[in-house]
Order: sequence, then structure tokens, then C-alpha cells
Amino acid sequence: MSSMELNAGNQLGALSQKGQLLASVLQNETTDGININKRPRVGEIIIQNLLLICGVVSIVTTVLIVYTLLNQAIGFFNSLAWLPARTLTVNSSIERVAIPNPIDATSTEISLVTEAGELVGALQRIPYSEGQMIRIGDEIMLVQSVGRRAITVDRGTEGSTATNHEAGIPIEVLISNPIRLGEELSATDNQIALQTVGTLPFTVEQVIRIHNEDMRIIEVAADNTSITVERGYNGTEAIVQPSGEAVMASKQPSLTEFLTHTKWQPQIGEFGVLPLVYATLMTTIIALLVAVPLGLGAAVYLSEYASPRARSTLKPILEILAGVPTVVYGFFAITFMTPLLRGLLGADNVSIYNMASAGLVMGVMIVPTISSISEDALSAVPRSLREASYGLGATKLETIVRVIIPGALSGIIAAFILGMSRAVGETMIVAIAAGAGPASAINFLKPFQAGETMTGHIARISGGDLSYGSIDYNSIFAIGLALFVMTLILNLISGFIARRFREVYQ
Amino acid sequence: MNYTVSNSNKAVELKNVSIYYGDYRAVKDVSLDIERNKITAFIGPSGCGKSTVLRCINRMNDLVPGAHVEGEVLYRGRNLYADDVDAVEVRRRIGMVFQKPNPFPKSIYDNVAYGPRLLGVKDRKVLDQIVELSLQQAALWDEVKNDLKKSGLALSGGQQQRLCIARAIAVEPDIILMDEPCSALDPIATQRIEELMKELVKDYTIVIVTHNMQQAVRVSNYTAFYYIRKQEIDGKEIRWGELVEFGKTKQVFDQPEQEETSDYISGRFG
Amino acid sequence: MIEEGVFHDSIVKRNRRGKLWSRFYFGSLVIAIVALITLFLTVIDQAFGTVALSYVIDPATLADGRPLDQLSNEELADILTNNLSAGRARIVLRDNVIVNYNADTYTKQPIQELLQGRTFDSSVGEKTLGTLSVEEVGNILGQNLSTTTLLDIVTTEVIQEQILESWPLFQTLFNYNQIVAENAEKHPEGQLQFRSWINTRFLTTPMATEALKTGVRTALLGSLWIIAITIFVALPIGIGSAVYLEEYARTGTRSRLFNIINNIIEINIRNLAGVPSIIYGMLGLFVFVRLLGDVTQGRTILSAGLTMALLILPVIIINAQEAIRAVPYSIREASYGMGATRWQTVSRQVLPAALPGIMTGTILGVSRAVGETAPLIVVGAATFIVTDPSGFFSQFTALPIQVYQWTSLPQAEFRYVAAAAIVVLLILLMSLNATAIILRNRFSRRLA
Repeated sequence: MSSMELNAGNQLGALSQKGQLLASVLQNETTDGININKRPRVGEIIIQNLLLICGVVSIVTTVLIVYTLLNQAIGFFNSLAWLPARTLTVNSSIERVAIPNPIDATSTEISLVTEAGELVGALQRIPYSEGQMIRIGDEIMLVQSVGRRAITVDRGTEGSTATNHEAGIPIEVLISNPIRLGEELSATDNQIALQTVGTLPFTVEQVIRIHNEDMRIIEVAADNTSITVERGYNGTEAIVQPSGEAVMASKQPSLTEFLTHTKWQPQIGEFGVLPLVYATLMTTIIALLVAVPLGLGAAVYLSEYASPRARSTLKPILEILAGVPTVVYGFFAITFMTPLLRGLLGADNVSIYNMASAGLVMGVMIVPTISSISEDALSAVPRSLREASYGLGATKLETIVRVIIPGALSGIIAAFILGMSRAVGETMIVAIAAGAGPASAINFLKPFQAGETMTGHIARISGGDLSYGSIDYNSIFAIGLALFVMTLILNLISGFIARRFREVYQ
Repeated sequence: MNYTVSNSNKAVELKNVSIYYGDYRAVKDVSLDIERNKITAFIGPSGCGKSTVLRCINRMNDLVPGAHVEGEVLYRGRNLYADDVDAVEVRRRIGMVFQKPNPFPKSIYDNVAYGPRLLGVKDRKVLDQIVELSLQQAALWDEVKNDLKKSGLALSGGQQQRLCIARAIAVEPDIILMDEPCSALDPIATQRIEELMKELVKDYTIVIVTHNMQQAVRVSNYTAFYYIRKQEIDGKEIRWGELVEFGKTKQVFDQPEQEETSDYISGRFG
Repeated sequence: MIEEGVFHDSIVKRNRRGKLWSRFYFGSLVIAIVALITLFLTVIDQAFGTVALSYVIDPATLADGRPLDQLSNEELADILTNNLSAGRARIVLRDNVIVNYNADTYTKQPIQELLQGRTFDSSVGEKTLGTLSVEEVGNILGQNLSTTTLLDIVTTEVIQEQILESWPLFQTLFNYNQIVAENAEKHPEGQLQFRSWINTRFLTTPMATEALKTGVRTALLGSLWIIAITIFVALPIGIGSAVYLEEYARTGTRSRLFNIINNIIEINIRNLAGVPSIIYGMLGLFVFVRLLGDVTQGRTILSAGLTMALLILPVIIINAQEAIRAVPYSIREASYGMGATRWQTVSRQVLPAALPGIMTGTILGVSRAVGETAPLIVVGAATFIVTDPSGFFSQFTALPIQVYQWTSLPQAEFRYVAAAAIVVLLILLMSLNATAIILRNRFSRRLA
């Protein structure tokens, strides 16, 4: 190394003791020059990329969620429910009686007692039995149970719609006639003789199944005695079918049916998600009725009235409320809230499983969510606005109601919506306390009745032994997709409002 | 050779340096030379870009998203903004002391040993010596030698700033950049730092940004005066900083060539 | 012109209204707190109480009135010898001492082979299980089992306790006479006893079909396993994401595309935090249980842990981001100014300083994972298992799952069992949070 270079780095030449110490240890460090060239920092690059991968995991999670739900929900809409094909005819041997009282579209109980207090049509006893199908007007109902004076029915079955009925319309009893093969079918025969009563419920292109063999209908004979089919459809094997074999008809869920029908029982071909949605909305609304006033009130108190000391003790208590596992809330609902409601309103009016109890407890659960976000919004309202209001002679309450709450409104609304999203997605409370029956009747506006929510249904179905590929398995993903879309929209709205709110004061 | 050493007395040479934040040009066309083993002061009103220029000398502005530099910053004959220059290596040669004392939330010892450790010094004895020498250079050793394990944050403001200086010189930098190092300190602490700077300049080149003109007069050999320019474009006011005057401190303060300089110095604005 | 009196009235009214509403605001908070207290009281009410028990043999008659828990091993073994049939005694021996046996051959194997490593009289070594007398079985039991286990066997096999009815704690405390009256009327043979549903036995025994015998051991271990996997997966990824977003994505010059990606990651994390937990369960069911079934072997602890990790990832990331953001920028500047690289700055300055915050956030996330039930139900918690989880590929159940299952059972006694499980769950959560606070305090003291 030239002496010129040594001298040039002038403190280096007369290098301090410290410089020599450094130089003695560091290999690439030179006392005679300075190297500021770019270094290949491989470790840095590897770490940076590892960190980027970590960051991408969350995107992958979202992609997986969307993929899972879409993929399996499509599976649901492509799956078929197989039901014994049958025709319905009126059983004329049972006497027709007229309903004595009008029936409401949502009522499941049909009273057969006249004003005089006797059974209609001078009957000795109610002539119907459990499991029978009856028809009132155009609506078909399934008899669930028979009492001494009334029957309980499942409304709007067989694809009919539950409607209001005037008094005096007759009740017809229906017989279900299974459709069977009329004679043995060879492996090649396309013409199938059928044995049943009434008009065949088949359409051209429909797929039917007879003992593991699928067939596509090409023609339905006008006299309702036979059909022409394409044998061995869908890759199934055409086999010899003995006489009397039952014919199964397929039913595929459609998006329209999913979104508009009012009955959910995929195993028997009822694909309307609405009852689950209604129950979800019902519990959510009850929860919000509790959580919105309580959450906002608590937020106002903490932000405007509480001393710093009171705040620092009260806020953690609210946070404990947020940290309690939801299954514990569920336990609370069923062991405390439900008996309380039954005690207050009478055990006859409140079912053991009911939406009100679940909703009320869920309301308590989301109070901390609403109060903490609202409180942030309230305390973000600038001091100058408060002072302006006080300066005009407003009382504290007037300042809060007319200045501070409107000033924080978007933040508060964002909190409400977020709370709503939590209530919609909450599972355990409703799974434990709201009811777990196949949701068929719409219990909208009947908060003290049982009602299975979307989440509750998913939990119940997947809690049992679920075989992949069954229509039940696929159906929970369709519900999950609907749930995901609902909460996503709510979260996006909440985020949007909250962002706009932030822009106002910054 | 990967390195060249200029035989002139220039430590750093700025040639037509403009600094941008995104599309906004914060500083325009600064050219000046910083002499070795001298103290150069940057003065000027707030927002004139003096700190920005200081930070561009050790590429601290790289950390600000969207910041970039046009022109050349020559250090030992090489443009610091050339593609083949490593910003991390630059910062190791050109150290920095900040406006607010910012010791790490660690012991005094660990604060000073941080730089050498980054360079890979592991030998405890070597570290001990470096720490002691650096603290002595920063005139802090006598005050802290008995409690090196104490947190750096437990020191007084002036001590913290001297600790930061000790930390900066522990890696034997060429140049120390000081960004208003005394603005958060009381007069006595300020005086100690000023004395320390006069001592350190024997070994290092120092560039200091200061708000305090008296300080510039007291400590610096050269002074660069920056000022804010304004222009109206399409109804919008655009502001940027420019170097107005640069020269020996005595000359800049006693016989300023530019009117803005004399106005600013005499306190007519700024 | 307003009259003085009118003005005065109005301000009085306004102030009165203000006072009323301030009471409402305070009241809302009080209601929330009362709800919390009621919740805890409900749990405690159910976790303890009085039970009416019936016995096949009254424990008081077994040892001449001495309390059973004061008896020695030999005395307990004698009770078994005197009260068990030979067949029953052999089954007790098989299930409690032999434990691991080949179901096809064990009846033909000699005792010395079956009881390898255990204590037994050499005289019985050649015999088979079927030829052992009751006394011999009793001796072996007495020599090999702990007093607690023997006491357990006496309780279940000889005394055969059965719950006739149970009453909660507050009724026991405040209305005991009614319980006595009710019991006398309904169960003349019932013996009233105070019972803490949460007890050591409950903690250490696996699940059983009877409320008196069931325990949370399997569920507690399952929960711990799942937490371990969750932390192991979510913590590094979560901190990594947060560091990336705060330290790498925000600074330096970057291309437009890069900024867009970073923004998408940010928004995405916010939205993920709002996805209902049951949806994560469905993700776990489809992706971990089915698609990756070869790796995870289906409905296993591993699948559950991975699902939970994804669930709490957003919580950890958001909290870690906040903790990192709270580290003063001056510390980074100082480090970079010394010639530190980005990773050196992050690993030596930013992360240590942010650590207390990151840990608090992590524990918040983990607490959430501990209490989450819905995703585990969907992923496929086992409805009934009695074996301890032994690894990643064991079937699992977890504490909240047990709470759910016991709450859903129709028998009233299981409510009490569920309450006891809730107490265990809440204690687990509290100890997690306490750990967080202690760790945070210790670290912040070190950093100060």
C-alpha cells in the first residue's frame, strides 16, 4: 500500500489506538483505505424474503377461505338429493272437514275446535295421524303431532308455500303413492312400465335412479303408465331390475331455491336457507338491542364522565367481558338467562331453547366491542368543538348529544356494524341456547321460540359424524359462503365508514 | 483498486445536489466542499433543507420512502449515490448524532459497543478497550466508568448526547454529522458538547446543523447558509431550499455577500 | 324577552335531564359489569353444590366407621377382597395393574409374564389370571396401586355411588332446609353431601359417561397440545408479517406494484380479523383435514393446531404491528446511523424493544385460541376419547369442546360438570394472562 494512501486518510495514518483495535479484529477492514463498495448481503436478502413469505401467509389464508367455500359450495349446488319418487292423491275414505278458524301463514298449530267448543264436523276424535300429509287450499302440510283439540303441522311442504287460509276451507288427506317398476326390466330395455296412481311427477331430461343405476328420462307416456329413458346414465351400469323396485327421483339445489325457499332440510330435498338467515337476523337484532344502548352508554360514560382513575379500573373490566370464551356465554345463556326468561314470562311462553336468551347474552358479549370503538371515536372529537359548545352555554348533556355524538357518529356507526358482524358470526351461544332442530318453520318475530341460526346449524351438522361427499357436508359450505359474504360486507362497510371518519379530523 | 483516496483536503464534495421527496424537490442544486478536520456548520431558517442535505451525506434519506438524490456527493473521489456503493458501509464511515439524544434502551456499555459488535468484534477485551477509549474521547468516561451497566436512558440529557457521540465514534468514522445536537440541551450541557466538538475535530471531520447562530460562530470553521425559495406555479406555491452562501465562518458572519444572509444573521427574519 | 323565572326553570330542567342521562350512561356500564359478575356467579353456583347420593354399600359400614381416606393399602385391599366377586376382581386387576395386554392371549399367559416389573408373591407367578383367587388379586392390587387409586376402586366397585339429584351452591348456602326436605321426600335413601365438582379427581381422570366419574384430563392435555402448535406456527409467522409490514414494506424506495401488494396485505389482515371463527373451522376441515389429509392424518391435533394458528394470526400480526410501531423512530435512526443493516436494526433494536407488546398481543391471541370452540367442532373434535393425546396425530378434544358437549347433554348433573370445566378453562386463561403481565413487566424493567 502506498504511503500516499496512508497519509491521505489523515486520521488513519496516525490511527488512534481504537482504530488499530478495530483493524486488528476485522479482516476486511483496512487501515490503508476505505471500502464502501456494495456487498452481497445474502443473509439480509434471505431474511427479507422469509419475512415477505410470512406476510403473504395471510393472503394465502384468505385465498384458501374463498377457495374452500366456493369449491365446496359449488359441490353443494351440483349434488343431488335422492328421494323416493311418488305421486300424491286425495284419500277419499277420510271425511273432509272444513277448518273452523282462519290460519295464519306462520302458525304451526291448527285448531279443530269450533266456537262452541266441540270438534269440527261433529267428529269424535281427530281423524289424522302423525306423518300424514294434508292439503288446505294449495298448501300441503305434514302432520307433526296430533292433540285432542288441535294438530301441529309442518307448513309449506312438498314445494308448496305457506299462506294464510280463511275459515271453512276443507282439509284433504293425501296418500303418498310410491312409484315402482311395474314389471321386470331387462338390461337393455328403454321403455319402463311403472306402477302407481295419478300423474307421474317426471319431466323430460330428469335423472332417476333405480337400484344404483341412473337413467335419464327421454319421454313420459301420456297415460302415466310408462317412461322412456336412456339407460346406464352418468357412467352407471345398466342392470336387470326386478319388478317392484322403487324409483328414486333426483333433486338438485338451485341458487334461487337456496335464496328464496323457506325450508332447510337438504337430505329430503329442501334447500331454502331463509329460515337459518331469519334466525340469525333475529338473534342479531336482539343482541344489538342490548348492545347498542349499553355499549354507547358505557362509551359515553368512560369518555366524557369518568375520571381517569375510574376509567383505568372500569375499562379492564369491560375487557374481561371481551375475553370470556363464547362457550361460557353459551353456558350462561342456558343456565341463567333461559330460566330467568321462563320465570318472568312463563314457561309456556318461552321454549327451553329460544332465540331471545341467546340474543340477549350475545348482546352482553358484544358490548365491549361497541364500547371500545365508540369510545375511541368519542375521544377523537377535538377539544375545540366541546369548548365551542360549552362556550355557547350548553350543558354537558347537550354538548354530548348535539356535538360530540354527531361528531363521532361515523365511528359509532362503524362500531355498531362491527358488533353486528360479530353477532352474525357468533356460533357457540346460539348453538347452545337458541335451538337445534331442523329449521323448517320460520320463527321470525317469535323470539321466544327455538330457531337455528346459520352458525348454529353448521356447528350442529359438523358436530355429528359427517361423511364427506354427503349433501349435508356440502350444504354447510354453502351456508358458510353466505355467512362469509354477509360478514365481509358488514366489515367492509364498517371499515369504510371508520376510514372516512378518520379523514374528517386529520 | 476498489478505493481511491483523494489527496486534496476535501472530506466530502457536494456537486449540484438536489433532493426529492417523491416528485417534490426539497433542496435544489447544492454545491459545497467540506474540509477535513474542520467543523462546517449548516444554518438557515426552518424548512430550508439544511438537515436534508446533512442526511444525504450519509444516505440516511434512503430510509424515507420516495426520497432520492440527484447530483453527486463525492467522498474520497466516489459518488456515494453510485449504484455500486453500499449505503450501510457509507453510514459506518460517516456517523451521525441526532437532535434528540437517542441512546438505545440498553446499558451504557452496550450502547457504545453496539457499533463494534455490528462489525463483528466479539473479543470482550477489545470491546472493553474500545468502549473505554470512546467514552474518554467523548469526555464521559470519568462520569460513568463505575456504572457502565446502568441504562443509557438513566443519564442526564447532556450525558446522553455525549453517550451518543461516544457511540458514533466507537466505530472510528471518518466524518461525524450532527443534526442540531444541542437543541434539546441546557446551556451548560451545550457548552460541554461544544468543547467536545473542538476536541474531536482533531480526529474527525464534523458537519453540524444548528439553529443557533452563536453556536455556529463559536465552533465552526466554515458556514453554509441555506434559505427557502418560493415560486408560484399554476396558483400553487412551491417551496424549496437552496444554498445561498458558503465560506469561512468569520467571513459569512462579518461580511456576507448575499443580502438574505445578512438579513438572516442580523435577525431581520427567520 | 325571556322572563327571569322562565329562564331559570329551563336551566333547572336542562340540568335535571343531564343528570338523568348521566345516570343512564353510568347505568349502562354498571349493567355490563353486573352481567359479568352474574356470569361468574352462575359458573361458581354450578361448580359447587349439594348432591344426594345413594350407595350399594354404605361406606360407613365398610371399615367400622373409620373414614375410608384414612385406611392403609392393605385395609383397602381387604375391602376389595371381601366385597368383589372373583371375576370382577380379575377385571379390576386387568384394567388397573396389567393395563397393556394382548386381548387374544392374556387369559392364557402366566401372571409373571403379565405382571413383569410389578410386585407379586412368587407363589402366584405360574398361575394364569383365571385361576387367581380373590385374595391373591386383592394382594396384588394392594401391593401395586397407590392409596388414591385403591380408594377410587373401592368407591366405584364396592360402594357404587350414584347421584340421585344435585343442587347448586347458592341454594346449598341459603336454602339448605329446602334441599333436605326435597331430598327426604323424593329420595328417602339419598344421603346429602357437599360436593365440589372441581377436584383433583376431575382434573386427573379422562372422560367417562357418568357425571361422578368424568374428568377433564384428556381435554386439558388436548388444549395444551393445540396451544403449543398454535404458538409454534402463528408466533414466528405473525411476528415475521408484522416486521415485514412495518420495517420492510414502509421504508425505502419501492415499485408501485410492491406498494399495491403491501396495501393488499394490510387490508386483507384487517378483514381476516373479522371473519367468523367457524369459517376458519371450515377452512381447516377442507384444507387440513381433507386436502392435506396425508400429512395431517385427518382430524388430528395437528389439523386443529394449524387451524387455530390461522385463526389467531391476524390478532398477533395487528398487535405486533402496533408494538413495533410504538418503538420510537429515533432508535432506528441511531442504529442505521451506526451502519447497521436493516435486519441488524430490527433484530437488535426494534424487536427487543417491541417484545413486551408483542408478547401481550400474542397472549391475547392465544387466549382467544384457548376459548374458541366452533372451529374445533367443525375440524372434528372427537366426541369421546379417554386416551391422553400423545402427539401431532392423536385425535383430540379440548376444554371448550367438553364444556359444549356437557352443556348440551340432557342430564342435569352434566351442567355441574360443565361448570367445573369452565372453572378450569377460566383458570387456564387467567394464568395465561398473568404470565403475559409478569413477562411484560420483567421485560420492560430490563429495557428501562
